[in-house]
Amino acid sequence: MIKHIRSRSIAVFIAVAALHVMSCNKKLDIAPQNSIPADQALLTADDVNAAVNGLYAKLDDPSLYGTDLNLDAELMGGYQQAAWTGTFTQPRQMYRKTLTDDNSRVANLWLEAYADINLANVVLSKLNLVTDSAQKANMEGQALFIRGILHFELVRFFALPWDPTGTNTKPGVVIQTKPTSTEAEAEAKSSRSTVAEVYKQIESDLKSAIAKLPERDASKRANRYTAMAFLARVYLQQSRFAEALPLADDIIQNGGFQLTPTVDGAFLNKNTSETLLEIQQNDQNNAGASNDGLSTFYADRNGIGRGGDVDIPQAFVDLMDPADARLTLLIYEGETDGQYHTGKWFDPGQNIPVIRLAELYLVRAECNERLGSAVGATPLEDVNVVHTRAGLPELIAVTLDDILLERRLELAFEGLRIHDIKRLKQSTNGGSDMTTVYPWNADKLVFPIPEREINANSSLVQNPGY
Amino acid sequence: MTRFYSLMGILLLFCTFSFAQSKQITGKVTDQKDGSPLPGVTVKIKNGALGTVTASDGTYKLDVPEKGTTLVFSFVGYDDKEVIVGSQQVINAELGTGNKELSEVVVVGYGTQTRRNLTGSISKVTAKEIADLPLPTFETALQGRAPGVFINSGSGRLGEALNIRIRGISSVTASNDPLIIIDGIPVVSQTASNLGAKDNPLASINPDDIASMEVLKDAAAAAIYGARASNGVILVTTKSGKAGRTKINASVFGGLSEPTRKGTWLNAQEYRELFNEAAKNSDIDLNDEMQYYPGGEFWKDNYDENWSDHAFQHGNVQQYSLSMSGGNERTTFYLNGSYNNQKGILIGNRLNRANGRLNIDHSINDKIKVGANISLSKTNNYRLPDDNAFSNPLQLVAIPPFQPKIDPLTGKLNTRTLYYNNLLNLENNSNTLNTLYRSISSIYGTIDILPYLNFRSEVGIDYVNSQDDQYLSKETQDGAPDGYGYNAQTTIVNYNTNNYFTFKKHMGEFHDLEAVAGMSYQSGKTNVTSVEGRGFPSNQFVKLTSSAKITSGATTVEDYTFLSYFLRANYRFKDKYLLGASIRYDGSSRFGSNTRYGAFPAVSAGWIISQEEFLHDSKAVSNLKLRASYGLTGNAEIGNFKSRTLYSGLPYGSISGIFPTQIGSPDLSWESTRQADIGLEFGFLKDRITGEVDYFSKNTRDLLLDFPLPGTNGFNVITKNLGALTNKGWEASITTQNLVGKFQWSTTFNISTYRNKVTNLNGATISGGSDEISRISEGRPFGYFYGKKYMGVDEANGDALYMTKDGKTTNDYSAAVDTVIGNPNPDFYGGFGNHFSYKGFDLDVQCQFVKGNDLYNMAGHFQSVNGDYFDNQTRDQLNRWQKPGDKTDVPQARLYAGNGTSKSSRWVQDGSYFRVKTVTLGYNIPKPAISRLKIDNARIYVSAVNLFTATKYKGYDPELNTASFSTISIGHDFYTPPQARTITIGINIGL
Repeated sequence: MIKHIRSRSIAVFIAVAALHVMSCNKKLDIAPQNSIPADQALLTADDVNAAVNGLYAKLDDPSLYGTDLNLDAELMGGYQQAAWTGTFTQPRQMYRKTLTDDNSRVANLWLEAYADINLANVVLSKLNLVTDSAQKANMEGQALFIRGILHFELVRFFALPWDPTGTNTKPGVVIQTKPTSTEAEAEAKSSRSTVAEVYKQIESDLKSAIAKLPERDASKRANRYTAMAFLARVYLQQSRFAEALPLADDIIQNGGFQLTPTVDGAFLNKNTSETLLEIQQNDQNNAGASNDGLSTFYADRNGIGRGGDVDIPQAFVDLMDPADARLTLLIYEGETDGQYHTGKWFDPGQNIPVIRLAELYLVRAECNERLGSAVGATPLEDVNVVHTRAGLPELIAVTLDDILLERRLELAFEGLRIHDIKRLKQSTNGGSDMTTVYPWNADKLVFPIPEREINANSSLVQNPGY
Repeated sequence: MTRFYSLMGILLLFCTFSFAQSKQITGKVTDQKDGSPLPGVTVKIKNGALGTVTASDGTYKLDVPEKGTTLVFSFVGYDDKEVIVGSQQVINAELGTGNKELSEVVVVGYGTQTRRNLTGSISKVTAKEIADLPLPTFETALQGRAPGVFINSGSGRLGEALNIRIRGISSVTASNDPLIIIDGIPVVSQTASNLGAKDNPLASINPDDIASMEVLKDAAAAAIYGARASNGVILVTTKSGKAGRTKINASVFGGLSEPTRKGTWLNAQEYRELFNEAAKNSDIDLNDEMQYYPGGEFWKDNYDENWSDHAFQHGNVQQYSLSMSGGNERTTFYLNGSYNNQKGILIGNRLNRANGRLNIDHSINDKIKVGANISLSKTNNYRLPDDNAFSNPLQLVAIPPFQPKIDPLTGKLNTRTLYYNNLLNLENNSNTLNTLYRSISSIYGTIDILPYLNFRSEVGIDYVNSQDDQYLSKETQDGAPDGYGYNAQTTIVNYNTNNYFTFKKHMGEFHDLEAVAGMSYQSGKTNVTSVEGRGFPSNQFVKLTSSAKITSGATTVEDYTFLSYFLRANYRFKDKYLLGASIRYDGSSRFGSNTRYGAFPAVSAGWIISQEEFLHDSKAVSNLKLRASYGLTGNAEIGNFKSRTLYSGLPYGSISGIFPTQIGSPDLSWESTRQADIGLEFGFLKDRITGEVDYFSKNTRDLLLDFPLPGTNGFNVITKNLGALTNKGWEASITTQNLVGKFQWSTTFNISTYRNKVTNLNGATISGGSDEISRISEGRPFGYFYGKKYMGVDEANGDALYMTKDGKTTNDYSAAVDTVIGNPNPDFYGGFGNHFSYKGFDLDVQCQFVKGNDLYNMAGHFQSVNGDYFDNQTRDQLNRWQKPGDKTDVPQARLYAGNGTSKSSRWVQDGSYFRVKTVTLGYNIPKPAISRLKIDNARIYVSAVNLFTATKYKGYDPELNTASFSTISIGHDFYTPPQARTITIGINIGL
C-alpha cells in the first residue's frame, strides 16, 4: 500500500515536471523586439522605401555629412581658414597633417560610408518588390545617387587626388556594387580599384541616377538636379569644365531653385529654395550635441559648442570686405574664447545644406571663365549674383582668381576646402607651428587606410606616407 | 504543486504508522569545550530517515526502531558524532570542533558537501572573515582571501562595476565575469543604470546578510552550471536562523575615508617655469599665445590653484543594523534590517542603502520542509560621470594652476578655465541620482520521499528596478545652453526555478553514493524606458515636465531564456576513494535553433591518502588528499540576439527609416572551455598546518568572438565561434595555527598565478581604440601592450627617442617599430593574513598583493608630456632635458612640438602593489562585566580598509582599470579615481 502511494506520488511529480519542461521548451524561441531579423525586414515596397530613408538617415551620421565629411575637408585645408584648437586629437591630426592610421574619425568615415553603400546595394537588389514604376525608378535613382556620392567622398579622402594630366592609375578605393547578406559575403576581401576606375563608377552611377530620379522628391531626398549638381562637382574635381558647365547651367535655368535674400537664409531656415540637398535634422534626430555634430565643433555662442574648437584665423577674415554680410552675419566672436567662428552651424537640430544653388552659379562662372564662354550668363553676372547677395556693390570685372575667392568665401565651412586645394593644385600648411607646406598632391593630404581595415583585409594596400 | 505536497503529507502518515514498533531515546547534547548545551543539533538514525533536532536546552527525544543501531549527531561547525544505541535509553553526546576544516560544510551547485569529500576546487569565505569591515560591496571580500580569484575594483567611485576574474581570462568578446548565484538564483550582476560608468547592482546587497561565499573554480565544481560556468561561479548563501532563544544583535559603525594615494602636480610657479621654457624652445610668445585660450588672461595674474585637491572631499561611512535570529525545532528565522550611508572620497559621490531580509525555514513534519528567503533593498547612488567625461572630477587636474577656482570678477566658480571647471556640476540643482529597488527572493520546499531520496523545488525572482534621474543646469558643460534633463526606468526581472532530486545512500559496508538530478529554467527580461529633454525655465525646474524640447525618448525590451537539465553523482569507497561525475544539458534562446543545446560533462576523482593504513595513525600527517578533475564548461554571455542579421529603425529627421545594424552567423553556439585541475590538500600536526595546492589548465575553443570584418562589405564585425585561448596556473594556500591556547595566532597565505595566451584567432588582430595600447593577437596574452618603445631622451638635443627595428634609436616616431611593450596581466597575486587573539582582544590583518602587471597611463600624453600643451603636468616633468649632456627620460619642453607626445611605452609602468587590505582590532567585553546588563556579548572594534599601499606606480592608486574604453584595454588609467582608505570604529551588542 505504502509503496503504491509512493510510486503514484512520484509519478504525479514526474508528470508535473514533464509538463513544466515541455512548456519551457517553447520558451527558448524568443524573437528580438528592438530590431527585426533581416529576412522579415524587407518584404514590401514600403519596407524598401524605409530602407531608402535609412540611406539618408545614415548620411546624417557624424562620420558622414552629419559632421566629418564637412569638418575633415575643412581641417585638412584648415590653414588660414579653419584652425582646430580643441582637445580632440583626431581632428588636430587633420589640421596639423600628423595623421596616423589609427585615427578613429578616419576609420569611422570609411566604415559608415561603406555601410551606407551596402544598404544602397540592398535597395537595388530589392527593387522587384516595388510594383509602381515611378516609385521604383525613384528608389533606384536614390540608391544609385547615394552609392555614387559616397564613392566620390571616399576616393577624394582616401586616394591621391585626380590629376587631369595623369593616368590616375594609383590605388583609389574599393568599388562596392553588391549587397552583403551572408557571412561569407561579409568576410570577402576586396582590393582597391584605381582612381580612374572609381571615378568612372561614380560618373556612371550619377548619370543613371539623373535618368531615374524625379524632378522633385516628396521626402526631401535627392532629385535629378541634386544628382546633376553632384556630377558637376565630380567633373569639376576632374577639371572637366566643359562637362560641368551644361549641368550647372541646366540646374540654374530649369531647376526652379532660388537664392534666399540673405546669406544666412539657407542656414537659419529649413529646406529653402536655395538648397539642392539638405540633410534633415531635428531636436531628436541629429548628428550630436556633445561630442559630434557641426555646431558642437564650429559654434561658440548661446552656450552651444565645446568652447569654440574650430577658430577662424584672422588671415581668413582679412580676405573679406568689412561690409560683406558673410562676415557681418556669418562670422562672430566666440563667447568663451573670443575667437572668430562661423555662424553657419549654430544648433544641433538645424538642417545641413550639403549643396546650394550659390555653388552652381560659381561653377558656371568658373567654367565659362576657363572655357572663354558665356553659357547662360557671363562669369561677371554669375559672380555678382552671389556677391551682391552678400550686401556688396556689383563688381565690374572678374578674373578666375576673383571667382575662386568668391567661391572660397561663399562656401567656407561647408566641406569643400581641401578638395578645392587639390583640384586647383594649391597647397596648405601643417606642423606644430603651421609652417610646413604640403602641396596639393602630398601624401599627408590623403587619409591613411584605417589600421583596422588593413588588419581585417590583407588585400588592401596602405597609402604612401603611412 | 500544493496537491503534490498534500499527497506527500498523506504518505508520511503512513510512514509514521509503519514504524510504530520502536523505543524512545532521550538525551542531551553539549559542547565539548565548555559543557554548554547545544540547541539545534540534528540527531538522526544512521542511514535512516528518522531524526530530530535538540531543543534550546540541548535535550532531545527520538523514537528509534528496535533495529536502529547507531545515532548520528551533527551540527554545523562541529564534528559528527556516532553512538551505537544498543540497549541504552539515555544517550548524551558531547560535540567537539577538533577537525573543523574537514567537516566544514561546503555549498556546491544544487546541494552541499563536506570538504573532506570534495573532488572539485572550491574557495570559501565565511561571514566571520568579513565581519566588522566597511566593505563597499560584498565581492571585495574575496580579494586576497580566495585563491584563484583576481579582483580589481576598477575605480574609487562608489557602487561601480568591478572586475572579478576567476582563473584568468577565458573569453575575448563574451563576458569574463563569473556567474553569481544567491540562494540558488542566478542574479543580475551587470550594469542596471544608464548614467555614467558601469554600475554594480550587487552593491545593493548587504554584506552582513551573507553567511558564506563559495567560489567554484574547476570543472568538477562548476560544470553543473554548464553553459555559464567558464568564468567560474560564486555561490552566495545568506544567513539562516538557529533553533534556540531569540538572539538580537545590534551593531553600528562609523568612520572616515580618504584617497589611498594622490598624484603630484605642478604648482603655478613650477608651471610657469616649465611653460615659459617650452614656449621659448618653440619660439612662441606665450603672452601673445595665451589670448587664444579660455582663461589665458589669468597668465598675467598670480593665482596658484591646487585643482587636483578639488576633486576630493572627506568621505565618511556609517552603518546601523539590527538583526534577530532564533526559532524552535520546527521553525527558524533570521531577520535583519540595516542602513548604510557612504559619502565617497570624490566630490559629489554618495551612496546610501537600506536593506531588509527575512529568511525563514519551517519543518512541516519530519519529511517536509519549506522556507523562504525574502530581501528588499533600496540604494541611492549619487553618481559621477565616467573617466572619459570632462565632468569627471579627476579631470580637474588638467586645468592649469594659474587659473583660479573662483572667478575674481563674479565671485563664483570660474568658467574662464582651459578645460571645463566641472565643480559646476555640483551647483545650481544639478543632480545625477540612480535609485535601485531590488528584491531577491525565493521560496522552497523539500520532501524526503525515501530515507535516501529527497526532492527539492525552489522558485526565485530577482527583481531590479533602476531609476536614473539627472538634471544638469545650464551652467554645466552638458546642460548648456538651457538645462538638460534625463530620466530612465530600467526594470530587470529574472525568474528562476530549480527542481531536483538528491539521493544519498550508504550501501554495503564501504560504498557511499550521492547523486543529484533535476532541471532548471530561467527567464530574464529587461525593459528600459528613457526620456531626455532640454530647455528648462530655470534651475528650480528640474523635472522633464518643465522642459521645452524632448530631445530623445525610447523604450526597449530584451528577453532571454535558459532551460537546463543536470545530473551529478559522487561515489565514495571506504571513505577514501572518491569519484565524481556531472553533466548539464543547457539550452539558450541566445543561439540559433540548430545549435541551441549543449552538453557540459565533467569527471573527477579523489584519493584521501591519509585514510590509508600507512598514514592512518601518523601523528605528523592529519590529512592528505589528492584530487583531479576534467570537464567542459561554456560561456553564453553575449548579446541576446547575436546570431541574427538585424535591421533597426533609423529615422531621417522626422521621416522613419531602417538600417541593417548587425550581420549574424546562423551557426553561432557556445564558447567551450575544457578545464583540467589537479589538487593536493594537506593537513599536518593535527591540522595545525593545513592547505592546498592546485594546478589548472583551461583551454577555451570556439571563442564567441567579435571578429573584425572588412568594412567595405558594410559591416565591421561579426560574432562567431572562432579562435582559442588558454589559461594555465597555480594556486596555493596555507593556514597555520602558530599559537594555540590563551594567546592564539594563526596565519594564512595564498598565492595564485595565471598565464593567459591567445592561441588562435585565424590570424586576426584586435586592437583597442586609437589612444589605447592593448591588443589581442595569436601567441600573446589578453590585452598585451603593443606600440612604439620609448627609449628616453637624446642627451645631445633633448629629442624623445624610440626604438627602431634593429634595436637602435630614432627621434622619428614613424620610423620606430611597433613591438610588445607590456603585459597588463599579473605574474602572481594573492593574500597574506594574520589573526591574533588574547583574552578578549583580537587583531586581524589581511594583506593583498599583485605583482608583475603593467599599467598604461592613457592620460600621459596630456599630463606628462614636458609642456607640449597647456594641461597641468605631473611634477616629474620638471626633470626635463635642458642642456646637452642632461641625462633624463623627460624630453626637452617644446610647446606644440609633439616631442615625445605620441603613444608609446613612455607611460607604461609597473602596476605591482602590496596592500594592507583590511585590519580589525576588536575587544570583546568580558561576560561578567555585561551580564548584569542582560547583554550576551558586546564588542568594540576599530577597522580599516586599504590602510596602507606600497607601489612604484606614479599615478594615483595602482588598483585601477578604466571602463570608459574598449573592454580589451585592461590596465589602462585615464583620470581614474583612486581607491578609498576607510577607517571605522564600531560596536556590536548581542542580547
